Amino acid sequence: MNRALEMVAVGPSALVQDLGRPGLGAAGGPGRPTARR
Amino acid sequence: MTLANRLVANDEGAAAVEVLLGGLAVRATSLLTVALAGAAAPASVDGTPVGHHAVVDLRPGQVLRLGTPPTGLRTYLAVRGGIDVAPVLGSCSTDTLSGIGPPPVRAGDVLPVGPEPTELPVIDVAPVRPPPGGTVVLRAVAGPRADFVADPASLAAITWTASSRSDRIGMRLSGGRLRRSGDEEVPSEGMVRGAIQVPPSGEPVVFLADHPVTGGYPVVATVCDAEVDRAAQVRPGQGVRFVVAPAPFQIS
Repeated sequence: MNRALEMVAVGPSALVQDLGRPGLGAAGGPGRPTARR
Repeated sequence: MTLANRLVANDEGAAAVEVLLGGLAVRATSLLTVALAGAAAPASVDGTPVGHHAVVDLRPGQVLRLGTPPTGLRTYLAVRGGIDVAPVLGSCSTDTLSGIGPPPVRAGDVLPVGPEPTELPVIDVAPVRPPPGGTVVLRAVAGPRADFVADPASLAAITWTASSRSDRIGMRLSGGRLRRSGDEEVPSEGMVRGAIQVPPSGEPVVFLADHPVTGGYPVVATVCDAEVDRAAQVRPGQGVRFVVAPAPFQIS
């Protein structure tokens, strides 16, 4: 079986996030600056 | 998010799942190692409570469930190997402002997990305080456009309330108004995470991770970068106060 997480239930919101887009000042999330600097 | 990734020995930049106010349930399709960080939503694996900021193994078929966190807004679920979705413009993130990146996660989705990194987790638990309840105090630096409001000191004098209209783009504040000092408008300027922008309503907006890269309303102060993560965990209805330091230089 492939390694995966199956979403059984999602509350108000769930998003895939990482450190964000270099130079775009977008995405990321609490825990890291906006973009790789 | 980075803490959750570090706990499972991922690269800090590995893609993870950001969960708003809990409610998530995920089933492992194979043996997976995960960690939770951020808002401490009560968590269980097949009904057995598991801790936050801790390494948790999921056997195939086991379900990890999150309740509603008592404080904070966003919980991070990292999985060893990272969420393996195709990057767009160098990132796997969902950008809620531009709409690029993977779509929001929905029930029934299956998120592929990447291969395990070569490094192994070095600690089982990281003792970290959960996001605070009550009024949150955020440090900020005045400017660059503090002179665009009649009484810049009001920003620090008012106890603001986080609005339910807040999102990843910005935390909207209510509970007072900052009056503009004149009718002059500024040309669009580059925006940074933590910028406190004052729209015509006078109710400030603190820009968060998905903020626009430019904006035309004056920025009267900027939340210190180290404080913005705490701002992103403020729940609607929670109080916010600013401690504003003078700007280190003036923009003419």
